[in-house]
Amino acid sequence: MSSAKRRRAAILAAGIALTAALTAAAMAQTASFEIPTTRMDQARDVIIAQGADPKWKREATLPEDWVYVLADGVTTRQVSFYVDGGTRLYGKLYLPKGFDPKSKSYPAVVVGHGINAVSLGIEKYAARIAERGIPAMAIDYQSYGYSDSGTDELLLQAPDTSTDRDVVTLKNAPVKIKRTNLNNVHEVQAFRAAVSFLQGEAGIDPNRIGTWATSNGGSVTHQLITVDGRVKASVIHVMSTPPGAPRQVNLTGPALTDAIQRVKTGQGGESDAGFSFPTKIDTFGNTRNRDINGPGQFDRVRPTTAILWLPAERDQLVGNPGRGAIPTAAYFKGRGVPAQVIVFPTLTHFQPYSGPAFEVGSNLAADWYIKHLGEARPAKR
Amino acid sequence: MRKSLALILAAGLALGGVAIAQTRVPAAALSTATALPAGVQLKEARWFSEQVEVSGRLFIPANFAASGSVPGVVLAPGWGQTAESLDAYAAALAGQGIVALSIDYRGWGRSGGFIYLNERVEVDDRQRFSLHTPKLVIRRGRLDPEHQVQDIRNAITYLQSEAGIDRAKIGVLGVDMGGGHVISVLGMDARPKAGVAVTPIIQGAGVEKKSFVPDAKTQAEMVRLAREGRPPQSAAEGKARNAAEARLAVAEYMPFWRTDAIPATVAVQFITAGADERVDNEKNAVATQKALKGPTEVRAIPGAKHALTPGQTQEAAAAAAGWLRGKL
Repeated sequence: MSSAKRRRAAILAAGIALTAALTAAAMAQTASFEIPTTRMDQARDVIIAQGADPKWKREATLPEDWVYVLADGVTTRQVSFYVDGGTRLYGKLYLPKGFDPKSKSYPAVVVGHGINAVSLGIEKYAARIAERGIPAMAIDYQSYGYSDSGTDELLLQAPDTSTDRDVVTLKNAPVKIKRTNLNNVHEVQAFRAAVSFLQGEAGIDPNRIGTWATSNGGSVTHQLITVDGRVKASVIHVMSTPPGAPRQVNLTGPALTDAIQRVKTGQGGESDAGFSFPTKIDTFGNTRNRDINGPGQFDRVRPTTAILWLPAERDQLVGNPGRGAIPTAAYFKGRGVPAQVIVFPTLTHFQPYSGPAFEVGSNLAADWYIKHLGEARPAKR
Repeated sequence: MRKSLALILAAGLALGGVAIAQTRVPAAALSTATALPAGVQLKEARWFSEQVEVSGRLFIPANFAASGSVPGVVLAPGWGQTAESLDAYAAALAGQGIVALSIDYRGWGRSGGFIYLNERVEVDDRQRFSLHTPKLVIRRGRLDPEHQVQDIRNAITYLQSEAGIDRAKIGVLGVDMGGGHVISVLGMDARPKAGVAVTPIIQGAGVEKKSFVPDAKTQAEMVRLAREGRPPQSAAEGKARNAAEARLAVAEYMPFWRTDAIPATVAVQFITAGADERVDNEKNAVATQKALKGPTEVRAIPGAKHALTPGQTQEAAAAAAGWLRGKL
């Protein structure tokens, strides 16, 4: 090679090296806690097509949307765990292929459903997370699905004759059992007890637990991350709320009338709720849920909790669809809390649960957990 | 068709609930060691807190009439205490023309206990209500601050339902941990307009307002309760569980953190024991006073220990009644 050609080759090589270095630096600046959005970017046209396709129009999730195929090697186990002094809740553990609790330590994720729904509808997210190598547990909240009704949903039909001498009374007694008691205070407790359950599970690293929740479960997550510092990573699906302020709840008008009926008789009025599993809830559930104000105390979230929002751009149920998560993420980033938003383009509230959007969203969630919780590691001796 | 059936069912269940309240010990006159001001009556009140039938001591002022409109105050006992412990305060309030309702928390005194299923019961979510006679566990002696706060709020609702009480003139008084509950309730609930916290324990001042990270021992306890916490099956187990659960609940209970939400229209009086051996008043009452926006007062009873003597209690009760009468 002539000296001129060698010079040109050297300059070219230097240029390529410099470009590569700059690109890496640029990517490093955005990627310090963010995951690549490539999955969504590359599927954009397909997802927009899904959004416009009458076959994928959704006002709720349908039974066909709950169906999934368990990936090769993924195993499941149904478990019980407890809240509030003895109420039994249900969980379904999904364990990755080759799960080896004796020699490996894994992160784990609690998977929770939305308003007035049940775990069956979102099992497939737990299955996907396990398929990607991370154990996950789908749960039912108190008084839903396979979980029991608890002390707020059991109305004795005969007098309680116990006195302060009787710390524990065991007896058969007639009771009216209430189901579908929507109560976000209970749902926060369910997540927390599920986290505790996983922390004690063989093979799970108690310091690497995360959560996935959708819709109203996302509102619950907004509160959960402000009260439970053990949660290290959360994915909030089709829900977003801008930061708020501390506030009281005022009980007046029809809400007070309903509360009065509750204290006089033990049971207030009922309201319709839910889309995928439409049933009644206590009207009071809507009042009680106002006691949960995660956005009013976002400043309590620690930098050790990493949050990913996956909103639907044209969400008909959530205020500021898509955009509502952006000021929230900015708020958190300004405080050193890892936060990212990846929007499903053009989709409405229920469309992300199925089709190509599910493939992208569930894998982005898994990407988030791998990034912020890590993967299986050798167990400490 | 289904909707009207659901309405009928709900109405029937509501009526059934009223019948249940009447089958218990009927609301009757109660006795008290406290001297009642002239014309003041003491009766038992019964209502529901969540789905548990609860009891309170209702002190009715001499001037009370169902056609009238007097203030009402809910009184919240201290840790492990029952409603009787507040008789002096309630009597003083009634003597000032205020209806006073001191409550027994769920699981204490004349109130019912917490109910748990003790066996699997097949239920279908599509049938919202169903009747069964399963094995149950009823637990008493539980100490859970957030449940106690709900008990106070449900008692406020009960007071607001009674003819003769002005719904807009509601106050709360609490002693010891109940004093912290006063701050919690005022922060969560816009209905009460004034509060009195006596020898209060108000955790949270000086604690970093961040999500809870348990130490190893606490975390182990949280794990154990989640994995093994079926309802206790014996008195010994119940006592141990009451203690363990109370420790965990108290570790996270920060009423001070709720002061942000209390507006300038709410007036709070703090009555402290000047020689309190259990509570650092600077970190509790005084710190909370500084954080509040509305009218406040801290009155120290000189030389008083955490458990006030009968004479000190009278002094505190008179001061509390004066405050609430003036502010409501």
